[in-house]
This record gives sequence, C-alpha cells and structure tokens, in this order.
Amino acid sequence: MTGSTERRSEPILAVEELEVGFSVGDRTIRAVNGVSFSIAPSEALAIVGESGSGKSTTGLAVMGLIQRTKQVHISGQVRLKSKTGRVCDVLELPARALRQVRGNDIAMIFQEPMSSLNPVYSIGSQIAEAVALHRRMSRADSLARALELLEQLSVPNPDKCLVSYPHQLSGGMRQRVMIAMALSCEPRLLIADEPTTALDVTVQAQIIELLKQVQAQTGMAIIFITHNLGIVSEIAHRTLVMYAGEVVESVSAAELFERPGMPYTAALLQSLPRIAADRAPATKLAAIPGSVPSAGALPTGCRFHPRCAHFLAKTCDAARPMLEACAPGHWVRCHRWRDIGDFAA
Amino acid sequence: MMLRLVGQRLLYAIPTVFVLTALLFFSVTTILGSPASMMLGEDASPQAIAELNAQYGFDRPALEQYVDWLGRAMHADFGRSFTTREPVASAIAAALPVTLELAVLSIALAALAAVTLNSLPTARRVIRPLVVGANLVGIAMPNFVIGIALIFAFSVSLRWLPSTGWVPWSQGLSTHVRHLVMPVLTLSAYYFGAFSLVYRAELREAYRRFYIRTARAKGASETRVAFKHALPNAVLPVITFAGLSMGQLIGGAVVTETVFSMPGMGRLFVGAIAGRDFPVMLAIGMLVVFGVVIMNLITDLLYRLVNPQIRLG
Amino acid sequence: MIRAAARIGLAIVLLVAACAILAPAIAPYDPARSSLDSLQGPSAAHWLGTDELGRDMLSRVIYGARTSLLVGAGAAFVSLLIGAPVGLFAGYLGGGADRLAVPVIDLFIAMPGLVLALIITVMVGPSLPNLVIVLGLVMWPSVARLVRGQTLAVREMAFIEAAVVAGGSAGWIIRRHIWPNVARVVAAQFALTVSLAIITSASLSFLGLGIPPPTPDWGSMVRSGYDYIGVNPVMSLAPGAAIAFTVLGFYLLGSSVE
Repeated sequence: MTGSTERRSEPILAVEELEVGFSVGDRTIRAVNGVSFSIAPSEALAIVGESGSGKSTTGLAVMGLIQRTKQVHISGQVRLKSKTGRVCDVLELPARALRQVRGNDIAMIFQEPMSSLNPVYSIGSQIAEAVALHRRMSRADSLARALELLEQLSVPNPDKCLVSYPHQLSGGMRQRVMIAMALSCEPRLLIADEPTTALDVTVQAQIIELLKQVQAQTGMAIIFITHNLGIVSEIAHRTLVMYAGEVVESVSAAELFERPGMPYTAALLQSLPRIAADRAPATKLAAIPGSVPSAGALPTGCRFHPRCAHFLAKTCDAARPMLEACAPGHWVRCHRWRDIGDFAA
Repeated sequence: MMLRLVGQRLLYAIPTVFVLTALLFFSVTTILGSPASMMLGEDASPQAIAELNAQYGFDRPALEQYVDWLGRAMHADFGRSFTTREPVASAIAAALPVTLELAVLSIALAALAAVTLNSLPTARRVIRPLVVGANLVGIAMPNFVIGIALIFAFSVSLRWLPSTGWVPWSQGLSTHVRHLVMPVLTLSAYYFGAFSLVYRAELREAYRRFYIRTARAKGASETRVAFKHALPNAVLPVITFAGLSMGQLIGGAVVTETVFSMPGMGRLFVGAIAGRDFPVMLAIGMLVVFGVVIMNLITDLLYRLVNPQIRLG
Repeated sequence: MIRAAARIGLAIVLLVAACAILAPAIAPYDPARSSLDSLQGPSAAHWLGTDELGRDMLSRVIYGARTSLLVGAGAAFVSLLIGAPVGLFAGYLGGGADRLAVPVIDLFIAMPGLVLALIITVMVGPSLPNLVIVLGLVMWPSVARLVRGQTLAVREMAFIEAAVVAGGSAGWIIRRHIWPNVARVVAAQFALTVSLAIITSASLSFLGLGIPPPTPDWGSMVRSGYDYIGVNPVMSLAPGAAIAFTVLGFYLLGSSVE
C-alpha cells in the first residue's frame, strides 16, 4: 500500500490517564497513577522501573488481563486500533470482543518462561491452540503453522520441539516457544514483560536479537517492560521511566543515555554495570539508597524525594511535580530539572 | 522403564498381601476362639469341640492352617460358610457384581460431578454456594442418613422409586435402574464431597500458575481456561482418590447396601460379622486387602502414565 | 469467610456440648422410660414424637449427644495418643524409623476404616470403652501422617538446629521445640478426627455393632427408626439430623483452623 510511511506515525495504541487501584481493607493502593503514552507501528517502547513501579501492572491492564472487581479499580482509556481498522477501548470491551483482541491484535510474553507454558500439553498443541483460537483452521494446518513459526524463530530441530513437553526444554527455548505463540496470529502489538530476566546473558542477547528481527520483518510494535537499562539501549526507540506508579520521564533512547532529566533515571543509569576497560569492581555499583515506596504509603510531593540526592526541602516534599517538557520530545517529572539537568534554558 | 516400575511395585505389593492376610487370619482365629466352638455354640462339650476341630484340621498349628488356607484361597476355594453351608466362593461370586456396579457407578458419577461442577467458571457466583452446600452434606451426613432421607422423600412420600431391594439386569433394565438410583446417589454423595474438597484445593493451586495467564493472553475464554488448562493440571489427585476409593469399595458399600437391602459384598460381610461366620469374614477380609493393594498399584501407575513430566522423565 | 465458618462450627459444637452436659435439666422426659404411647408423631407433649417403646424422642436425642461426644472425643484422643508420638518420632528421627513408619501409615490409611472397625469390634465385643479404643486404632494413621509432615517442616527451622547443637536429646527437643509448633495443626486435626469418629461410630451402631442398648445412641436410634419409616419418619430422621449437625460443627471448626 502507498502512504505507509505516513501511517507509521499514527499510533496503534494510545493509553490515557490509566489508573489501577487495589482496595485492601479500607485503603486503596494506587498501583498505576495517570499513565499516558502511545505507540506506533514498528516502534519499540521500553517501560523501565524497579519492581513495584507499576510497569507490569500497566502491561497487564493494556492486555485487559486485570479484571475489574469490587477490590480492583481501573479507569482511563486504552485505545487500540484493531486489525479491522476500528478503534476500541480495551478497558470497556465486553468479554467476547476482548478475547478477539488478545492474542490476535495484542500478544504478550512473560518473565517466567519456566511456568508460563502448560506442563500437560506438547509445545505443538499449545502453539496450535493460539492459532486456532483466532483462525479457522484444521488441526493439521494449525500444527503446520506452529512448525513454520518455530522454523522462523530458528529453533533447532523444530519437528522434535513440536512434540516435546515444556519440561524437556531449556528456559531460552521455552521463551522462544512463547514468542512463537505470541506471533502466531501476527499481532500488531507485542507486550514483552521482562522476557529475558530469568535467562542467562547469552540467551538474553539471542532473544533480544530475535525480537528485533521479527519487528523488522513484520512492522509490529513492541512494548518492552524491563528493569534493565542495558536491554533498553539495545532495542528501544523510546523509553518511559516509571516510579511508584507514575511516569517520571519520557524520552528517546538516544537522549536517555545522553542527558537524563530526572535524578531517578540518572541514578538508574549509574547503577548499570559497565563492562568497560577500567573493569570497575562490582562494589562500585551506585545502587540507589532505599527502596520503592509501597503504593499504600506514598511520600508527599515528589514520590522520589526520600531517595533523591538533589532533594530540596519545602520544594520537593511540598507539591507533586507535573510532567514537563524539558526538551523537544523529552518530558520529565521533577521540580529541579532546570537546576540539575543539562538543558539549555 | 514402565515394566521395571511394575515389577518394583509388585515386589512391595505381594509381601504386603501376605503379611496383612496372615495378620487377619491369626487375629480372627485366635481372638474369636476356635471355629468349632463357634459352630457348636458355647454350651458344647469340650469333647465335641475337640472332635470337630480334628475333623476340620483346626487343631493343627496356626501357621500350618494359614498356609493351607492361603493355598486353597489361591484356587478360589475359601471353604464353606458356617451359617449357610454354601461355598464361600459362590456366595462372593454372586455378591461381587452387585457391589462392583454400585461402586463403579457411584465413584464415576461423583468424580465427574465434582470435577465438572467445580470447574464451571460461572460456578464462582451462581452455582458455587450450591456446590459448597452439597459438599458439606456429603461430608457431614453419614451415608445411612442420606439413604434414609432419600427413601423417605422418594419412596415413602412421593412413591416414585422402590425403597429397597435389588433386581438383576435379566429382569428388565428399567426395574434394575429404578432400584439402583437411590443407592448410587447415596454412595456418590459422600464421594462427591470428598472429591470436591481435593479438587477445589488443586484447582486453586492451578489457577495461581502462569500458564493460566498465558491461556488468557492467547484469547481463550474462561470456560476454555477452566476445562482445557486448569482441569488437566488439577485432576490427578481426584483420579488417585477415585482409584483408592475403588480399592475400598467394600468398605464404602457396607452401609449403603445395608440401608437398601442390596445383596452385595458389604451386606455379605455384615452378615458374616453378625453370625461370626469365620470363613466368609476371612475371605472378604482378604479381598479387601487385595483390592486396596491392587488399586494402589494401578493408581500409582496411572498417575505416572498421565503426567508427562514423569512419563517422559 | 473462613472465620465465619469457624465461628459457626464453634457455635454448633458448644450447643451440642451444652445439650450433653445439661441433658438431665433440659430433657422433658427420662430417655429410658417407656410408655403406652408408642410410635407417635410430633405433638405438644412429645415434640419429636415417641419411639416403638413409647420413649420420648426429644429426650433420647438430647441424651444421645452425651454418647456421641464421648465416643468422638475419646476416639480422637486415643488416635492422638498413638498417632502423635509415631508421627513425631518418624518425622524427627527420619532414616530407618521413618522408612518403617511411612509404609505402615500409608497402608492403614488406604484400608477401609469401617471394615477394619467392624472386624476389630466383633473380636473385642461392642461396648463404649471398646468402641473408643477401636475407633482410635482405626484413625491414628491419619494423625501420624499429618504430625510427621508438620514435624519434617519444623525440623528444618534454625532454632531446632540450635537446640541440637546445644546438646538436647531427641525426646527433649521434640517436647520443648517441635511439639509446640505442631500442636496448632494437631488441634485442627483433632476436631476433624472427632467428626470422623462420630460418623464411623454412628455407622457401626447402624450396622448393629455399636453401643449396646439401652444407652441412647443416635446411630442405633436411626437403625430402629428405619423400621418404622412409613409410620413415624421423625424417629429416624431426627437422630440422623443430630449426627449430621454435630459432624458439621466439628468439621467446620477443624477445617477452618488451618
């Protein structure tokens, strides 16, 4: 089709003011707080944060995998442009329509490749199920499609893999199977929730490379949820940094490493192990003191202020900072970005 | 590998059967007194008892008697009943099919109902209170109380079903089934409660696993998640339990058969107990031991066969 | 939800216990006194009617609570007395003791309890003390299995190692350190065992091998009432309901403590 370059800029997913809260007793724990972002085809967006930052909850909510109940409150919008071209709000879809979106328009892979596959079914039948749920296909055809996917993901001995059971495969292989399952219906958006965290380093690199290849081939958008900024540098075009349930910085991948706007982001960057020439011992990791506040007991003002090296009394602990543009395409949630960042006024 | 496993299990099972039957034999023969005194009554003269003991070989050493008894038992010869003088083997041959049918139907019905009803995703809201209620009835109400309540409702009040008795297949299928409805319901009520308890605990565990989330992410419906993804991972303990229950079928059927006057193993056993009919007691006791050991073996093997993690190593 | 179930269970158990203790005060008649008004349905004079000997059913059901609780609690106590030490030592000592105990426990759990109880009862003869012992003998393996599992878990904890290093003997460590940690679960199991004992003893009575008459016993009452189900259904259904009610109480109490 012509004009595909223009279409690229048009987002396929737009999240606006997403809120997820859990009632525990008479308190409400706000796990995700006014998160907004959008993603276009062929784009790779990284959502970065420590555990407890709300990044995984955001991913699950986009997938419609968090159910509203008396204890679970979700608001905001998750607008998805589906394959048919219609725009719908994932949060408001009835169950049946939601099932058509899952696996078909949006697919998801998870952190736990060891336990994300059903132990009682063969790999082939689990991938074939994903195909058959959205395509009218015979069992033989969907198994053939499963084989094709495994070949495409350069799984060695794909025939053998098809008839194996999850416990017979290594963690890296299982994650490949999960990816095959996710790609089976050619989704337009893939949410990868820490897909490499449980794997060892060489396998991590292989999986990242694989996802990049698939994206280049299919033009699929990827939301990459991770706590590892090293991975961000390898795959992401844009990065969303989350802290205590809110977005604290939104920045292009290049600028993220050049000039982070938020002290939290800068601290995260410093804690990255550098395998550089100076061979700094591991003890030199600049770990951030303290830990993410629990969503039930948030500090006043800037949520990061108790841990921040640039904390200024009566400013940082007074008002909650807004997300401000500090440079073109770069937003930051910090009262002091002008003082501490490398931004021309 | 499977064959080696079967061999290994049999190696344990066979001595177990011998030890238990010996235990049964010695305790019954020594504690109950000599069979002859039992046959002749307590007032019989010592001389008459001694004569009869000699005639039946009851005066021999206990071990010799046990070996002799076991040897005959291997050839399905359990001697004759003291009370009816009928061969024990033929009494058992007549009673066993009745119990087998009752137990198989009840256990199958209970397992099917427990797994299906507890799996239904809507059950959480609509059916769950009913299922929980039925579970509690099955657990708290003794079998005979359920049976009598059913008889009161369906036979005495509504007059829909015959209250007691048993009619063989040959006298018409519908009469046979009509006599079987209440006994099967009674016996399955207990198993339903027990199976549900086990299955619900397993199901809760299965729903915590990440493959459930994967299935939902694929776009599977809640019904599909429940029956295709959670059920197979939660059902094994129910299969095990059902298998073990089959091994105990005589124990399970004792009360139900008594309530509904069914001519099965349970009632044969109760009759033997009441009449101190020592050969019948021993024969059924041995069958119980045998059934338990065999079903334990089969269940164990089945468990390995169903679970790919064990099957394929 | 769970706490509500436990509360209901406790309320039922207390109610039944109150009936058992206060039976002479609250029962309207002497449960053993027969009269000419036999097999009557419920009336103002006899709320649950009378049995075939003209005895007041309500009074008999109230007095029956005594037998049931006595047998249930007694049997559970006996099973605890055998099962707890076996489980504690097998779990704590491990090795040979454990390898010997576990198959025996498993085997006895697999045996149908009622059949076992019938055989032993016919050998020793039915009487209240015998019944308590027989049921205890049948039920101890489940207690032993539970206690063993709990002991295994507790044994791994650090303070046990400290006690071993301090030179404590096995018996002392079990008494001072393991038992207090296992006792809570055992208490829950105790309530479940009572409920099972009440069902089994009622079943034995129904089969004619329970407590001999004239002691008012729910299982025997159901048995004799069953013969008159067409005439006076309350005669079997009322004691049947009493059994179910009591068992439910102990079951709710025991299953919600875990």
